Amino acid sequence: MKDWSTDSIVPSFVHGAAATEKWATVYKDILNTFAPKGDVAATQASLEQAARENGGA
Amino acid sequence: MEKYDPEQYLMPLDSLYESAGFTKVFPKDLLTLLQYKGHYWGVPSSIHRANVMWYNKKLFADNNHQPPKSWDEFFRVADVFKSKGIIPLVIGTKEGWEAGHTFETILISTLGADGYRGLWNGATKWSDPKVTQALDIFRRLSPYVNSDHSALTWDQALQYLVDNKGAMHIMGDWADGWFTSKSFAGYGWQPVPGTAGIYAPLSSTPTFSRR
Repeated sequence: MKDWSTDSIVPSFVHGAAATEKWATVYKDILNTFAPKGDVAATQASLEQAARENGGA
Repeated sequence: MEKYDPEQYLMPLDSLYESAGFTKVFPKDLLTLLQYKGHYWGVPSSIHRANVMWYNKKLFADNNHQPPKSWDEFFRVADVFKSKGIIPLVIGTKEGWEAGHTFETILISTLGADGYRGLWNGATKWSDPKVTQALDIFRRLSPYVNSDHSALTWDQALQYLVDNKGAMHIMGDWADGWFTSKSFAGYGWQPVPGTAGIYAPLSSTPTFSRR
């Protein structure tokens, strides 16, 4: 893929390149809960809390 | 990387990076990703791209549609497929990481490369309206995915594409090998809508023990 040499490169979170394994596990659980419920506000609040507890903002 | 406690157990590979020329030939963004606490601890042996959308060429051709470049286009074409009894977006969520994988590609599309990177280093707040926007897109996907997704792995879900029953799928570029193993050639790929020009990689990265 020629995109490799020209594109911006960003880390994949769910596969462990962006953050701690603990944070990634919490993130995956939040998204799996969100899928059936679809509550945007509650899910965003959970993601914010996970970030605060793991070095994000 | 942090879980390996590299400063205690691993050899820093900075001199190898210099002598082998990795610091010259690897893309700058990748070099940044590979560093932990200012040192290189491993050499990527394979690189995969995460933000890929796979699609069934025949279904798009039969319906005179192009693969969507934006989420607005995605939902328009998804309505067409749905009205014809075709699953617009196939997904398998059995292993627990696939929903998170899909969502991170949507975050990349709404935040862009810099904004998305900032989520993991504190520069972008998770309260950002663009995170809300990504969650909203993710929520809106649900009427367009296969109802049996929680019982399927990603490759089992991809069978819908091979059978001409599903139109699109978001998965890393390892799906390419799976299609080949099924002798299926009727697929195409492009970046996930809204992520052209961004490469979300993951890699297998061997390290070297101090002992």
